[in-house]
Amino acid sequence: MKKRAVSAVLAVVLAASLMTGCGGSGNSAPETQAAGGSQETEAQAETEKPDDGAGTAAEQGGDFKDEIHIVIDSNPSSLDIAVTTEDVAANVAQGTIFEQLVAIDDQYMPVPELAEKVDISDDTTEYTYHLRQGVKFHNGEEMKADDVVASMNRWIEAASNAQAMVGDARFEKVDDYTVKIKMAAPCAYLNELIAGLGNRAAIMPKSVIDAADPDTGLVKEYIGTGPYMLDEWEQDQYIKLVKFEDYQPYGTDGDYSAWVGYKHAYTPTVYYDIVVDSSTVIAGLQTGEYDAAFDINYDNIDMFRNDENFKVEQTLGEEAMLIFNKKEGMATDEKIRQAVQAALNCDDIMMAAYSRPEFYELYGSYMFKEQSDWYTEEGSEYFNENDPERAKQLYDESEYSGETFKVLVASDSPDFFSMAVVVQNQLEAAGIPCELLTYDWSTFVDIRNNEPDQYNAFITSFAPKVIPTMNLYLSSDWAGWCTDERIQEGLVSINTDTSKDNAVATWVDLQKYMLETSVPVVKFGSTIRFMVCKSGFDGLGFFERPLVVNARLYE
Amino acid sequence: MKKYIIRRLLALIPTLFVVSIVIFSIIHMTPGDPAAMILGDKASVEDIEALREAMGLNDPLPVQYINWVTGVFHGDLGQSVFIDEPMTQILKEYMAPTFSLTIYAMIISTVLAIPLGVIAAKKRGSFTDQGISFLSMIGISMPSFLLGLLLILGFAVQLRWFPVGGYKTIAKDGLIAHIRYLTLPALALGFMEAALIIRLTRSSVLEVLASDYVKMAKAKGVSEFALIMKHAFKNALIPILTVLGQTFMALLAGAAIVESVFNIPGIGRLTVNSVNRRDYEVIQAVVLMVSLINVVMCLAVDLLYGLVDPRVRLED
Amino acid sequence: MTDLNEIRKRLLKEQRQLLVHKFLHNRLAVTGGTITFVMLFLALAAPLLAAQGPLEMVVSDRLSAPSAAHIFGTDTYGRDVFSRILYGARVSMTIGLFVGLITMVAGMCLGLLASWFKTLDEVLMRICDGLNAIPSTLLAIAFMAALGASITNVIVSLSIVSIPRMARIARSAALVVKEQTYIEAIAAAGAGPFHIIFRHIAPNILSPVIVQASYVFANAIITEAALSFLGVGVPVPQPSWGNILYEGKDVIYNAWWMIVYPAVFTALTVFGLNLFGDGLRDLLDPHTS
Repeated sequence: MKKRAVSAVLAVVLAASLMTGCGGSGNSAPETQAAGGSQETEAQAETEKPDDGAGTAAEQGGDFKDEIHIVIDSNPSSLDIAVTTEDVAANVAQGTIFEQLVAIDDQYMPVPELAEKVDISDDTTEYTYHLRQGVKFHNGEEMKADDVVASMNRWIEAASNAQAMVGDARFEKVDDYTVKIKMAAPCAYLNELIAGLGNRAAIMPKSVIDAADPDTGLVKEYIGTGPYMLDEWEQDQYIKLVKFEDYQPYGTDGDYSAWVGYKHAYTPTVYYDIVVDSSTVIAGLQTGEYDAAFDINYDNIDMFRNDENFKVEQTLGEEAMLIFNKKEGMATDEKIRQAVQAALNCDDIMMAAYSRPEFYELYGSYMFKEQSDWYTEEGSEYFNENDPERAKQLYDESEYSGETFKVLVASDSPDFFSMAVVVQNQLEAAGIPCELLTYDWSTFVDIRNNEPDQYNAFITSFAPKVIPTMNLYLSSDWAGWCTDERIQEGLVSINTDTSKDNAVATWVDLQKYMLETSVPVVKFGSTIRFMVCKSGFDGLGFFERPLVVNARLYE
Repeated sequence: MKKYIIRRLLALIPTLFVVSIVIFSIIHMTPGDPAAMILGDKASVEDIEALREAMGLNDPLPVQYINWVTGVFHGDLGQSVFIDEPMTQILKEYMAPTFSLTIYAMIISTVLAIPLGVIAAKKRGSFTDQGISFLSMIGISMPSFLLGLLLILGFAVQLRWFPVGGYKTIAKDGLIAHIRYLTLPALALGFMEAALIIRLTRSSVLEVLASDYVKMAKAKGVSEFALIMKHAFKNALIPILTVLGQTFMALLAGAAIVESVFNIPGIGRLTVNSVNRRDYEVIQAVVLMVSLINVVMCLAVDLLYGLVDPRVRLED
Repeated sequence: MTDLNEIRKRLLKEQRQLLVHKFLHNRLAVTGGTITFVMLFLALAAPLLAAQGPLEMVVSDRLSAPSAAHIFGTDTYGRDVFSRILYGARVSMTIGLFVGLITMVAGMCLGLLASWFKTLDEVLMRICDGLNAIPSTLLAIAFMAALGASITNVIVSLSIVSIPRMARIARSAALVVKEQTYIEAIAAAGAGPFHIIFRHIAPNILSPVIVQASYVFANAIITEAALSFLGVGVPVPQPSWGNILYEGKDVIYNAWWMIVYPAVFTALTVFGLNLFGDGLRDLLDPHTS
């Protein structure tokens, strides 16, 4: 999870305590923000003054720095976030360089960003987006319907998830400032998809899209509408963004939540320093070279908590999981999957990866606790069962008894790797022979996708999703191949059900069935992610990534 | 002499041909491909396959190889999938830190090693000599990445005199920062070479000291210090100089791991990263270039040897 | 012929006794040999010496400093570092020995054949030149990525990387022997090339080959540690010195013992092997030193 965090984030209600911003250097500010669900927004929306933090800092008479340095842990392969699902690319470019028609707020609800408003037909088959006028791209052109149509259709082509939802439908231009899409079937969650899918629906000029590399399909220039422009990308060293002077903020001053709202771009220059090695990050924070870093080694969190020069912020992390290969081999047998689930002690697995109980949560629900609509404890008795005897019994009953269970894991994601080591240990202890197949990331992905005969399960993690059907691990075409008919039927019925209550009831049943019988995956637990930043920061949010658009660093 | 050089240069062609075949085969044998890396973790199998096709990764390997080699002959080293710059520019950019590090390491190792070697030779058999020999023995046994880790632990984590890692350019951050960031890696890298040079200096100086003409000079009453500086050292310098050429190559190769330990964006890191993300043409270009430098350096060393020591016959 | 053979045997025996005698009087070689022997012993006796299995984890005990219970402390999974180092010695020694042996046998065969057959020589030496031109660490990394991380693949990769140099050394030694008159005599007597190569030339080039093999051994240990440190060597959770360092690097602020102890063991082993190699060289091959 740490290295390759996962794509789409979309959940419903999240605990406010899990996602405070780096708001406020003043003494009173943190409490206000921790209490309010939507951080600064409610408290300061009415006033012209940006926010409390700025007020106190301004009273202190300090000046803020004109450049800040945020650490990212790898060099993105591209910043074309419409095509790549890499998180590190979105961490740099989403909301800064690129903006979208709609983006999510801290309640994980889609809110218009480049659209003024969205009209949705009653049967949810037709969406009409009214664009904001006068929005400028970094190359000086004005954003118009042609650009949006080109960008959105390119996004649909790039994201099979989106294709699955809209089918053959594509965006069309109505007039220069209006676009629409009309689907054949109802599509209740299109905005959620646009707002938070792994392939980000970034709006770029049509001219840039037309000039994309014909081989890779990647754009050659990174031109968006956001408050920051790409100035310089020194490969493997840093990515430098500078303020886009013609940027026009939207919404109300002071009203900013998660990824949407009024963006000041106070700090003229933002550096994303690429630092692969975690001990270098820590040293760099201490010497003041870097101003903020996230997903640092959990063993070092305390060191920064006890240091008054820093503050530590947290946000909801992801679900760490073992995904069974249900296409070939021993894990096609329910009994084997149940045996593995029964054998595991999730506490130890999570502890090995995240070092202390306070850094993770253990519960069986597939949906996050904070997603009150979908959260259910049905079937939880099978979670974290830690019953080696029952496991061994199930294993012995299986026709695959005696075979070695093979877990595929990428050696360059330390968290997953730690989990795999403990899983192997526990399975062996239960009398289930287990082997780890460790490969570098690229080989891992290749084998996972193309050689299902090689392994029985793999480990990865998933960011929260707004609806259960968006969980990739339940998909029948993604690795793991969840083809269980009852699950697939359940998912279709959730997607097409017009009544949410019915949909939830279906999900509750489905989760019980999955935990008890089908076991497509074994959830280990949910993580919490941390960002360490200098205590002089004001307005630096942390919601899946550091949010720099309103950040100021006071000396 | 001319004929010899031409013959040696011609011999480079099959060598580089072998290099190109070896490296091409290895990396295309490797599972995984850049398409999956571009699209990221959660991309679907079909999307990845479509991109593979579009990128020409599904062409038969011989076709891909011939395309690449033809390109190289036309001066086109290929195109990185991930870095949107001409290959020569990429090589230049990533070579800079590596060269800096290598040269710094070489300075450290020579400055440290040659005097120690001379002293050891001068005080042959003494406690000092044994101490120096022991030190060099340890140096030879201490792989650079191990020493690097220990240096980080001592001087960066505990004492905090130097940064744990990272790299600063002279242009942007100044010479002092540049040197400060490269000191620990250069020490780690140079130590083993220093140890080798100490041994070599010691034995060369001893050999020269034992030669007749030095004995003669000594008999004539030339002072020992002058003797060592003027005669022995000067003559011992020949093999040392030629070894420095090899040292440079050894350092360049060792830099791959030291760069990973210290997080320096050099050619070694580029290779490791490119292997990880299957950026085929970058790996090919880097390996070809490093191998070329390698063989040319060997040739240069041989020539130099022939020039400074007429006893060496180049014709065979 | 029998007489000759007997004389040769007797000479060889005497030579061997002399070597043993000389060896014992070579301080370096004895020290190096002792260190190597101790490491081999630790590797073999690991199950007896380690209080705990190398994979046994007590996660709640993670990252505890050296104490009576864990004399080298525990790692990120609460495994005993001392026990992992002992078992790691097994991995290192196995890899070193196999790489040394494979390189010696394969390199010698190739070198011998190349020294005798002209066409083969051209081809083999060009290939060796090519392989030698690529920095060995980079080549090993590329091989490991292609083959996948496993102990066998580490052995294969490191052998491939070190064979060319060995072949060159064997070849040049063989070329010298080939020029000797007695070889010409045997050839004139009608002996086949393979008979000459393996019966008469091979025994005479053993010295430089064995000396080189001891360096290959040491080098294999270093490179294995480096590859594992980069995460492409011995697959975790198997204990190897490089793996312990790899995991230790991430917690360098919290657990110095995960860096210092494996580093000391690696360096000491290589130190021992180098001394041993130097001693061997002084004994077997006095002119090259």
